[in-house]
Amino acid sequence: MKFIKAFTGGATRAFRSFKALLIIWLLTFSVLAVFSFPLKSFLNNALGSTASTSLLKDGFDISYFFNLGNSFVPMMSAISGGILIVLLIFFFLYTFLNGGLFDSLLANRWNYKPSDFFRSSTRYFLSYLVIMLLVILMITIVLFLVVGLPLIIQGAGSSGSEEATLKLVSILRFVVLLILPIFLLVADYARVWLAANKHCKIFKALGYGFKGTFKSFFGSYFFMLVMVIVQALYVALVVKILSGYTPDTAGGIFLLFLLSQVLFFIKLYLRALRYGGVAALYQI
Amino acid sequence: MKRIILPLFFLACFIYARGQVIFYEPMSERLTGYSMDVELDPETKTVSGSMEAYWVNNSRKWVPDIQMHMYLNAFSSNRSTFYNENHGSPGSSEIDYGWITINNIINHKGTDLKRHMEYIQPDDGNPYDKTVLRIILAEPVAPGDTALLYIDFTSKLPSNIRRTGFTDDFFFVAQWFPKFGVYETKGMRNVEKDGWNCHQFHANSEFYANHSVYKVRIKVPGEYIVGSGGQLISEEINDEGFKILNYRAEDIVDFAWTAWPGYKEYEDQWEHVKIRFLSPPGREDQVDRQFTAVKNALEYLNEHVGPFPWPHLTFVDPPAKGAGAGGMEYTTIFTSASAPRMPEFINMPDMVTVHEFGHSYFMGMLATNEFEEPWMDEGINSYWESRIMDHYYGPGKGIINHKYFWLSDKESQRMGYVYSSNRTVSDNSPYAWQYPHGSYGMLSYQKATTWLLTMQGIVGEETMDEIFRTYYKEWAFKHPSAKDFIKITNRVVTRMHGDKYGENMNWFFDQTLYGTGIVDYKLAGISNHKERSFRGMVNTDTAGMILRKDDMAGDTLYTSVVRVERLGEVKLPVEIKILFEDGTELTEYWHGKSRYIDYEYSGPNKIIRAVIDPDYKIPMDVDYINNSYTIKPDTVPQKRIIRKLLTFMQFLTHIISL
Ligand SMILES: [Zn+2]
Repeated sequence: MKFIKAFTGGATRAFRSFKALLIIWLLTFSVLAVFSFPLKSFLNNALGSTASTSLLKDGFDISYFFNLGNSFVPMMSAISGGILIVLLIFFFLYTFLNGGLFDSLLANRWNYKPSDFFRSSTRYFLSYLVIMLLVILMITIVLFLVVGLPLIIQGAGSSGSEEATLKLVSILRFVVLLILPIFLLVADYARVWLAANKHCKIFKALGYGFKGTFKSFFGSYFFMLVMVIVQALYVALVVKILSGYTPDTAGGIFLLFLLSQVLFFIKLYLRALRYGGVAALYQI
Repeated sequence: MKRIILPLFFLACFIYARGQVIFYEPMSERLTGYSMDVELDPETKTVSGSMEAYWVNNSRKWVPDIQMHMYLNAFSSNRSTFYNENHGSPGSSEIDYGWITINNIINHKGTDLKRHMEYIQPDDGNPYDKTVLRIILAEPVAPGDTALLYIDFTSKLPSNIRRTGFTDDFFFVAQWFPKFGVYETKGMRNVEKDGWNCHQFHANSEFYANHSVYKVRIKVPGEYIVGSGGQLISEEINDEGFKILNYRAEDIVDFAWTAWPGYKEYEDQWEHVKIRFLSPPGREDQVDRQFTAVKNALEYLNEHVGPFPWPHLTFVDPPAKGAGAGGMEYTTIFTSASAPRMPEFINMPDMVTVHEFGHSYFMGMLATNEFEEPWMDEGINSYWESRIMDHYYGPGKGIINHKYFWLSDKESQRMGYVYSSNRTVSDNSPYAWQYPHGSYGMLSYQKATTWLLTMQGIVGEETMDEIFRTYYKEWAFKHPSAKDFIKITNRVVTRMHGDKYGENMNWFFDQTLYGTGIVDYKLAGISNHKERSFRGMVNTDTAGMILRKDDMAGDTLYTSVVRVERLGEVKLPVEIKILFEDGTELTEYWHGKSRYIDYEYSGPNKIIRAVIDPDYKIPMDVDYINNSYTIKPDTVPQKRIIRKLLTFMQFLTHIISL
């Protein structure tokens, strides 16, 4: 059963790539920490010696930060502008790190060296970047065709009631869920192929991405569908856990830090499992 | 007032004869009344028909003319005052425009008045604005006499719904018929001379009218479901398949109605009030919360202000395509605003329902002039909205009530004001369209709410209730002005508190309603110094000058100082709560008149925390964060927020990297 092989293969490969995962965690965490310094110092300055932070004790009173008055607006625009920049930087960073990760997953051994990780990351960066951009472009076009167009057509018909729109939206949501794994498979097979053949031939890789996806379609597809669902459920679970935990002591904050990083590491592992599963399918 | 009894009696009989009576004792003077027979044509988007209308001259002067609102003409061109103010346009094709024409107008003797009409622009002289019509009467109306007009008119609804209009087969028909202005007499609302008060249709502000009797017969295609501000007297389908509805309304300031084949109808009852709710399909899950919201508002305002007298009430949640009609108030019919699948924790639809219902008091019964004193309409009503929402939907969680994050109605109003960059640009005295720099909404809704809540913080909730109960008792179904409200406030406050707040509350109104300053108190700092035992040179008889060192007797004593500053111009009394390290607390009262005050204490305990206005009684204070000071700040909450934000970013960046 390919389906089962993908899971077991993915799980063990991801496990054996723990060094790669540690590198990814450390790097991304450090970059993010750098970005958080200005926010921290801003808040410390703005709040000073106030006793009012107790208002935030058991949750988030939305109006609280409006009291920061004149400094609030520039801070908010800095944050929202900052988030865009951070997203962009991380898109590049992960594209870079994925080169090493795929290489490590394909190598599938305990003694995979960090130097190999960075060599592969550097080697595949540009081709991975182009593949990602092309896959995102494809997803955008398909989303427009499957989601945008029906909604526009439905909205244009003046008789279109809210009820019908709601039904359409829930159907489309389902359709998107079904379509998304295909593109992820294309992206993953293309990247695996590049890393396995030590090539930088982007279009050939994309061609293989499609070929690999449809070669043994159902095995790959169901593996990916399950992975997408599992990761979505996992993120929902994390949101529930972390939003429910509101520590009010310094020790609690440290626990929150540990907990959040363990949860994030599991997220990294699940992604590596997906990549590793495709690598296992490729190497069967 | 005796003079007007006779014609009123005559008119009352004339109108009562054909309908059912709602109030056997009129609630208002009923200086105007309308009997209309109209038909909706869904193809041409018009409402046309005939109207008999009366106006009673209750002044001591002969009045030669009548002024009427022709609101729909605001949509007749992009140069109307309405579109000049909001920089919009009615649309591109003919069907988009809205207008109203009088096809025929005669007086009770049959004299044609059509050639004696002209459009006037009392507010801005804009010749393109045709929203106020002046009709020169064939003969002036004597004091106590009644003018009767018979008018045939056609109203074309606009496609771009602003308060009124259509989308496809959805119609919200408001501000749609020729409607009398208010003839004001000297002294009323403190005006200096008699005359018509009839403002043009503006982008902001809608209402000022006499309480009237309406008898309206509406004809629509059979499949339409209709809701109106009237009590339904009869409904039938005629031989041609049209639906004929007869409505009667009493003592309301405007009559609006809606028609759409798609409505689902629901009914509920609150004490004597039969409530009807019209809602689009797909929002069945919101029906209960909508009824709850309106019943909450009914209950609260009945208890804290005065009775809601009408036995009928209709409210509407317009469908998405008619969303422009959402959030409007016509006393016995109003519109909420919502969307499909509105989450439970977002109390927006409930808030709009509570707000628009509230207008049946503040505007509907207490019929202020919204054009000239918008804060008395929107500000007072938003104040009550905030009280109702925060009362019923969890204290501090009136707008958003989620387990992990929340927002109170009071705070959301305060935020709108505090956060605004032009919060000091004007006081609350301008006419609605004269608020500078787009500050109308912020100042007339949110700042007014915030200073009313501040007044409540100072005099107390019970006193506020008493002020509004008196306001209701003395001014319901009349036309109060700001001065009238202030008079009542002064009277009630001195009756309940003596001279605790001075001989009156004018000092408060001068700084808030008529002032532009901000309130900002700051706890500038705390210091704790050990009291020192004496060490110094002393002259002794035996040894001359020697150094003496005293031992401190008993425990160490501290001299502690709390430094308080007033950064804003507005001077309000505040409380300051001081906490010592042994847990003792004490509260100081400061009149706030000077720029700063230092509180000094001497004792065995250090001060560890001091808070100005600990109970948030002064929401006008633009910065709560500087209201407190502690010698050991708790940084845990902000650390927690940063930590969670970072984790969120960690996951987000990972997810988008595919
Ligand atoms: Zn309002």
